[in-house]
Amino acid sequence: MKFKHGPRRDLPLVGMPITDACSFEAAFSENFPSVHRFLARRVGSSLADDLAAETFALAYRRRVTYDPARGAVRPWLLGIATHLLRGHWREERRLLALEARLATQSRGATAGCDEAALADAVAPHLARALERLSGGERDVLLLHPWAELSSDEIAAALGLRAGTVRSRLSRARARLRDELDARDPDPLRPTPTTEPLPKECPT
Amino acid sequence: MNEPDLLTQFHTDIAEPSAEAWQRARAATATARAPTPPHAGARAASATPRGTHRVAR
Repeated sequence: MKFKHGPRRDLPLVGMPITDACSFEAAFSENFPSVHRFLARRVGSSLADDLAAETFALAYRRRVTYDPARGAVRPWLLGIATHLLRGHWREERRLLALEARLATQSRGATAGCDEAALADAVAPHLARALERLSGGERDVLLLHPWAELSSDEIAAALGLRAGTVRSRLSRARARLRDELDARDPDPLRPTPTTEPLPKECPT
Repeated sequence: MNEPDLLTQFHTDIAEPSAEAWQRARAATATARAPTPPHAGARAASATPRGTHRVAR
């Protein structure tokens, strides 16, 4: 399967200033859905409402610090959102742990062997693996597939060097792969039952 | 399926932001845009009780 949601190459490499109210409003309207979606995938819709609002309030206060020459406004906004998420890493881990447990319980309903079924079957292990990453590793790892940022954009968003992002991304992916491989080499294999085996009939 | 593909397919059941979420964010930015009252800092400073930092002789 091709990676359909890779970094968006159509985005401008440089942004526009957002110092006046009109341009900030345009940036808000254009980017609020993607920032909110990213936050909701990380910490759930309810907390995402609060954090997305806080992201744009903070962005407005800091709008003069946005340098259009360093990239588009979306990575900058996602950087603020990710910074705010740091106060909620514990909540994120709690949700992932809960999801891993719940998904494992309902795993028997998974049928078929297409990619959606595979992703569904892997979901509890993925949740568990993500929970075990550090917050910083999750930040770098998830900004790529969920916010469609390139390594350079992630670096700009988080104020890191591009090399640091690439090595952290590589390390996080390796850890994720190890966790997935260690837990279940064949994620579509039926879950082993925990029920006791029936007693043998007396002969 | 590799890790990015798996991650892309993970947590896909996310709804678009609700009208309430938009409204809350607009309200938050409107608050941020509200002008700070002039001399608010000076008023706060003048409200500080004086004489609380006496130097021992």
